[in-house]
Amino acid sequence: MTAASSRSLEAYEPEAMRAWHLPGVVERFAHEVEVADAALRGLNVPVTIDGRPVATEDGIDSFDPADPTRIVARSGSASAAVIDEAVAVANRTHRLWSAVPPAGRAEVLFAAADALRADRDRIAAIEVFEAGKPWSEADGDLCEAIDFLEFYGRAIVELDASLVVQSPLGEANSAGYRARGVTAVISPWNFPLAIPMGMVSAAIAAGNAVVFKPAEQTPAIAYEIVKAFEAAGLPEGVLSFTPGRGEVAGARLVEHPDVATIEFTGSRAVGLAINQRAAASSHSSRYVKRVIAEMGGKNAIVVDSDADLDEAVPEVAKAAFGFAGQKCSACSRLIVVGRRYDEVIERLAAHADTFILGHPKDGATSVGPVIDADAHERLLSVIDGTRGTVRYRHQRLPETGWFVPPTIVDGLESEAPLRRDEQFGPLLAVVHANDLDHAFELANATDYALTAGLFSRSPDAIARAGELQAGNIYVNRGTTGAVVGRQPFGGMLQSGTGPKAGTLDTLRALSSAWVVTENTMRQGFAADLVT
Amino acid sequence: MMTAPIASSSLEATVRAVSGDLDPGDVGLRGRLDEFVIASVMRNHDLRVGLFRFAEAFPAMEGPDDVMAHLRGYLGHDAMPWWVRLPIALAARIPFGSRIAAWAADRGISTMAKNFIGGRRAADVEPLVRRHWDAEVGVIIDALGEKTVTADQADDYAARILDIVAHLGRAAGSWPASPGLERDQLGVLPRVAVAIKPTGLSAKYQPLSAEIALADVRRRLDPIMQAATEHDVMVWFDMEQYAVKTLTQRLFADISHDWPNAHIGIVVQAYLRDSFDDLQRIIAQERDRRVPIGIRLVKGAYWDYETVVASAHGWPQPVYDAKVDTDANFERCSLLLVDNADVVRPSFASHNVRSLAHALAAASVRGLPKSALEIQALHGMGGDLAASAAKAGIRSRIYVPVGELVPGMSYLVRRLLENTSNESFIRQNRSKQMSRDQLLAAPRFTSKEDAA
Ligand SMILES: Cc1cc2nc3c(=O)[nH]c(=O)nc-3n(C[C@H](O)[C@H](O)[C@H](O)COP(=O)(O)OP(=O)(O)OC[C@H]3O[C@@H](n4cnc5c(N)ncnc54)[C@H](O)[C@@H]3O)c2cc1C
Repeated sequence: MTAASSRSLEAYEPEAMRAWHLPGVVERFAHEVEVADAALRGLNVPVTIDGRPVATEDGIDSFDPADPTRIVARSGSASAAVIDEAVAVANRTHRLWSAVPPAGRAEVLFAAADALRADRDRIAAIEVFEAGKPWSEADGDLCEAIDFLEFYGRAIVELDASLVVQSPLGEANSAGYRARGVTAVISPWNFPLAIPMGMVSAAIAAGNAVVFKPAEQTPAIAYEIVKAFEAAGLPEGVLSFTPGRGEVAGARLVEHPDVATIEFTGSRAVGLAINQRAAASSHSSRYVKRVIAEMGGKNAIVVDSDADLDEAVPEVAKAAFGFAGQKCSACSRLIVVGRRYDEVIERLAAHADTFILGHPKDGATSVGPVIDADAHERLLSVIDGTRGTVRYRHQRLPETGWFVPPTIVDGLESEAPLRRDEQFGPLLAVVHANDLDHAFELANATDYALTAGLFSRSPDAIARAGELQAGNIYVNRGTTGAVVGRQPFGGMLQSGTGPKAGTLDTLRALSSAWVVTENTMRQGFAADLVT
Repeated sequence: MMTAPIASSSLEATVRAVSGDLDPGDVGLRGRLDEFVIASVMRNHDLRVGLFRFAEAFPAMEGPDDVMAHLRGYLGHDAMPWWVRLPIALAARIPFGSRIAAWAADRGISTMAKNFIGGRRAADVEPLVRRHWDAEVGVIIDALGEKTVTADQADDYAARILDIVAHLGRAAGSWPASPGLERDQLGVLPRVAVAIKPTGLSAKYQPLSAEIALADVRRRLDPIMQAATEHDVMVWFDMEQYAVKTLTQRLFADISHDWPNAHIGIVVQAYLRDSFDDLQRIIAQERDRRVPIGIRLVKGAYWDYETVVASAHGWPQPVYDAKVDTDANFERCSLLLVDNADVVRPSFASHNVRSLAHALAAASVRGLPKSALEIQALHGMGGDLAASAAKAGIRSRIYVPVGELVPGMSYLVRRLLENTSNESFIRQNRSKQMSRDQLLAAPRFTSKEDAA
């Protein structure tokens, strides 16, 4: 499709999101949603190893969170034995796959991107039902998945050249990267295509074989990754698909001695547990297992006294309540500097009140449900149990479905759960700051460091944005919506181990570097000097 | 309708003749100092950015020290010319310096705002409106608003428009007759007009929630249409960002259908690549309406924004890249409007003498009566132009924004950009670096496709 020369990192461009205002775009997507609405029930999503479906004793159902009477998919559930089988296959195939030169691996990634593009609206429509994503969010997830394929495909070809070695007279040095081995990918449901695609595609680009365990809530979407790679001609066995329970399939993957690397995105608690188990199980492994973990955030946006509220209010609201707050980059703390504190809260509340909560299959829906009954119950009890002042709670909730009202709370103690813990829901804690120093101090008073935001029109304040403790800092825009190639994404401290997604660093973390040094002097005769 | 094309030689000769009727005057910011500032601002990109950003943030600053800090940050650094940098450094050192600086900034920005904004409320602009009327210039009143992100803001915006409609509608009843403004070749015209920005009428105004948005807008718009009908006020639907263009065209079509006796007008932005097609479609849709609609042809006020948004999203550019294409397309659209002046009411809103003279010349070559067209200009930028046109018997109207400084800022920034853009006619005319021939030269499309 595209010429080879345009396939450099420099020429990389992110996939364009759907422009809903252009003729026919809404209609086309509406049609796909209708088709999904009619057909999407009890989709069969099998464990797939070595290109073949594997029957499992147990199964896992996924539901439409906006209408839980609908079972979207029935996936297999990998047991420890099934995981062992998948790892064995991966352990065999990774040697063959890593022998394919980077450019050849890149071709497969580009072909997978084409496969996704060809099917983009159909897959996005599945997200609407299985993940409860409003249209723009579903479309954004598709774009990001395509972006990772295009980005890592280009990046892997340029990786070796980034390892610079010098060769003095009499010595020939060469260096490069090789795959580490079997990579386990354990992914979340909130970006059910893009996040696992980012992890899977980076590992595959780097020459690893992957065993992929998606979130229990969104197997049907995850399965599209397998299908895209199959369509792209990835050799069988390089990517195995093992939906299953975290405690069973996930735990076995992490502890399996033949797993070299674990890529994980999810909660801090699980991330830390994986880190510990991977370290402990390295004693019975050939590898010192490496864990690449993206964990949560308790992300703050500071609204300075001179901020443009026309911009700040909608952007904060989108960052806090978009996709019902279920993004690791979401804003869950708002820190307002100065006299306009109440004005900001009131306008934000009034803006949130224009949101349309509903089934995401309706294009007008701005906020959908949360992912499952557990999250629903937990979030409602956080709201009901707060000792702070509920300044706003959305009142127009659909009758069925796991909907949580966008809620704004202030008057909270610094140790209050809404200020301290990641809630992963549409709940925003607001705190007042006297000045910018105070605001930054409050913003940084957390163990997380994923995203942070600053709205200000003061050049001095903007120059200080880097003092915010976060991997991704946004000035005068919301904290969500990182784009591959523009905002390499990932946090510090308890938000993750690094490296950032969408960088050469990720490919390095999935590789081992080698260096060969040859002494070219023989019997005092230097090949380099013979003319 | 099929009409023979106008021969360009006779048209160009007429353009020259007609352009004599249009005097852009000393448009834009006034005074020698302003001219010096503008010339410097145009030369120094950092100064331009610094000044605009400072002005734009000014209404949100809390007291003199805050103003001083912003001044230092935006305009006190080394990239600034000495005559900007030094006074700021001085003000930071002397007693009451920040108060003086804040006072000066306030003066400067208020003066500029007064230049472009007619007043705070409908009542304030009544004398201005009346003065125009007596000089045979009509008005279109625009209510400046914050970006509508809440239902209250939408209600407030609607209430302010209702206030304008009621106030000026009532006042207009007592004005003396002004036949040129009250009739055109197709019938009677209301004395007063208001402009509506549809995004102001609903926080949900976006294509994914089109049905809900339209219903939400109608809840607030129908009372306005009712009042406008009662007070005999024309309602113009301004065109905003490209992302809501289709929505606003739908809204207009609905209103046209549901309020068949109302005087309404829609805007077509010639910088849009699809504007000629839109214009054809709108004319076809509305040609049989009992009260012919107004169509205001403009170039478009959001060029920077559209360019950035499309490029950031990887979308096709909705606007032309080259100014000359916008100008050429404006003229192509003008010809279409002139050729349909029997079924719609064309008006041309521009400060570009060439663009306006071309439309007037085309109408003259076609043998249309003068009353068939209208020209429109902005308060603070096109006053002289409108007055000179009125003197020459061309129906003209001035578009007067009404409102507070904070919500007016985005409007002001758009006007500042126009006053200082190298591409702008106003600027080119004022800088006196181009000959009259150059200023009046016919624009040609840069690519053959567009010219087709
Ligand atoms: C009464 C009135 C009502 C108006 N209502 C509206 C409205 O509803 N909606 C709206 O959008 N605007 C509206 N405008 C503003 C108008 O669109 C123009 O921005 C403004 O009048 C400047 O155009 P001009 O013809 O006067 O000047 P000119 O100097 O001839 O043209 C400047 C214009 O050219 C275009 N341009 C500049 N650079 C480029 C480039 N590189 N490539 C392509 N095009 C370029 C831009 O549109 C720019 O505004 C209105 C103007 C008036 C006078």
